[in-house]
Amino acid sequence: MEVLLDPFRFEFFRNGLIVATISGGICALIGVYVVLRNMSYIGHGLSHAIFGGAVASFLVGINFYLGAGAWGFASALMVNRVARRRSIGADAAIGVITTASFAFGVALISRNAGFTRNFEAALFGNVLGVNRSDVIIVTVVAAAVAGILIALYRPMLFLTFDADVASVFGVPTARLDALFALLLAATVIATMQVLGVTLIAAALVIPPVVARMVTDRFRTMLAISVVVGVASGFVGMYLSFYLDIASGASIVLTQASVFVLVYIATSRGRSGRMRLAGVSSH
Amino acid sequence: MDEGAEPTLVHLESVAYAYAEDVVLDQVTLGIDRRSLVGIVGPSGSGKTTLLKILGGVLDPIRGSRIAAAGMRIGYVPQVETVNWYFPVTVDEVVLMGSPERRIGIGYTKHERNRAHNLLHDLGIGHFEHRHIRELSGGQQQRVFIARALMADPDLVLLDEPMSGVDVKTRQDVLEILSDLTHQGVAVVLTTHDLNGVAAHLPYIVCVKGRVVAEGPPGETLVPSVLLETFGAEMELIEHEGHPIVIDKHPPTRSVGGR
Repeated sequence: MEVLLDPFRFEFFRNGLIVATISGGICALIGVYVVLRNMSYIGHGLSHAIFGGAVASFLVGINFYLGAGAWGFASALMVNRVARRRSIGADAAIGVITTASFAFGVALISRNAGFTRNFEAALFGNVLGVNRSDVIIVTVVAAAVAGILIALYRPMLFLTFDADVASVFGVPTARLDALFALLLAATVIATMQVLGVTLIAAALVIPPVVARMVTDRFRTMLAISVVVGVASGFVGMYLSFYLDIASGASIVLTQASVFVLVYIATSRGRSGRMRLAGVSSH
Repeated sequence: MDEGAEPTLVHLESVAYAYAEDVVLDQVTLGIDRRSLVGIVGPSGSGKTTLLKILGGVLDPIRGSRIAAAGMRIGYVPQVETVNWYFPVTVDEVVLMGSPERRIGIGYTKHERNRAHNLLHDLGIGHFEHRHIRELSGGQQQRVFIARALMADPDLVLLDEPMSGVDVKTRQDVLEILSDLTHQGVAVVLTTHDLNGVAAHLPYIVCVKGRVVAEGPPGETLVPSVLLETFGAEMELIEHEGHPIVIDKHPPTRSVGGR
């Protein structure tokens, strides 16, 4: 019990635990849509794109959430717009826009000596810098994203299953696509500090994949994914504290361990393997 | 179509469509009336699916106009090849997607659930409603998507190659279901490249090859000159119990090894 309670002496741990748990949960929730729409690369790309904005706003002296937020929303809308042009393809569009933005961030850093520590924190996540206002922002963003996804459950399910057909049935697919891109950008920006640029993609993908291996129902997949994300965020924070490793890495490693366990358990039956294959087969 | 018999639900006037620089449809004028059952016939790449999507309003023509009846509801049945069969949804969840009610939040009303249940029951797959869509046979899967289209309480049902890959019994059943729908006031448009199994049994056919080559009842459209222009292959026709039967005119097959 002492092992569990001891870290609570530190405010950074209390703040970090709240943010990591919420971050794990919200990434896992929106990640279900990301994975099922075969957009796993988008989370990876967006976090890299936002990195450029984060560095630029730091150097210019603008608030991180404002600077990176504006940059992230612009990147998300641009990716969404370019991806809808079928002649280019979503992966190529994301690749061009996001890597250019990331390279811009790296270029700015390389021009400014003494930026190394912040650079590592941004890449791999660091809870030491999480304060009360970060906790409030992450909580508000997560509540808003979750609330919107729950409110729009029905059209989002149809859009995710078959966007072309959904539009015939009156689902406003273009507007929902744009909204989803914004929700994803907001999630990435809010969780970047604790998960890190390079590990956000894993937090978006691993819990949904774990959930997909154990259920054939969309609603159940959402629930299991969130449970895995929340639990991994919570456990990962303790591991980060006791093993003295980056928070993003410990959360993702916890998720990866769950993945391996569930994979082995479901691989004993044929259905587990089929479900796993289904996640990446469309 | 039968002029003045039924009100027109959707009308295309001199419509054209292109993917990038590739024009796949041009100068298409076509009207779909209520209660009609229309087959769009043509070879692969002739623009059948594109025409269906323009009728449904999924694609906007680059030229010409589409005029649809105000408040018209459409049900769409996609090609089975385009469905992601590994998506985590059960049969009832797919059908409920078609509900015209725009509600906020997770879940469906009792009325919606009852309607989905009744539709599945009417289509003979009521006992599969909680199964995953992948666990059904081809014919049953086709019925799930027909049920979803009907869930929208549609005025017009569009089906993209609904008979592709289904057995003869299922084909006959689906044709009967579609015919029943027209008696309930619904217009049905489907695409097919199956001339004998499907097109010959429909009351009205539109032959497409980048444009409308011919339209009318099978007796007027399934004729050698139209089929040659549409499919680019010579075909002969015989008649059986009032239905035209199309026969390929194969070139003489050369034997192998002198046998």
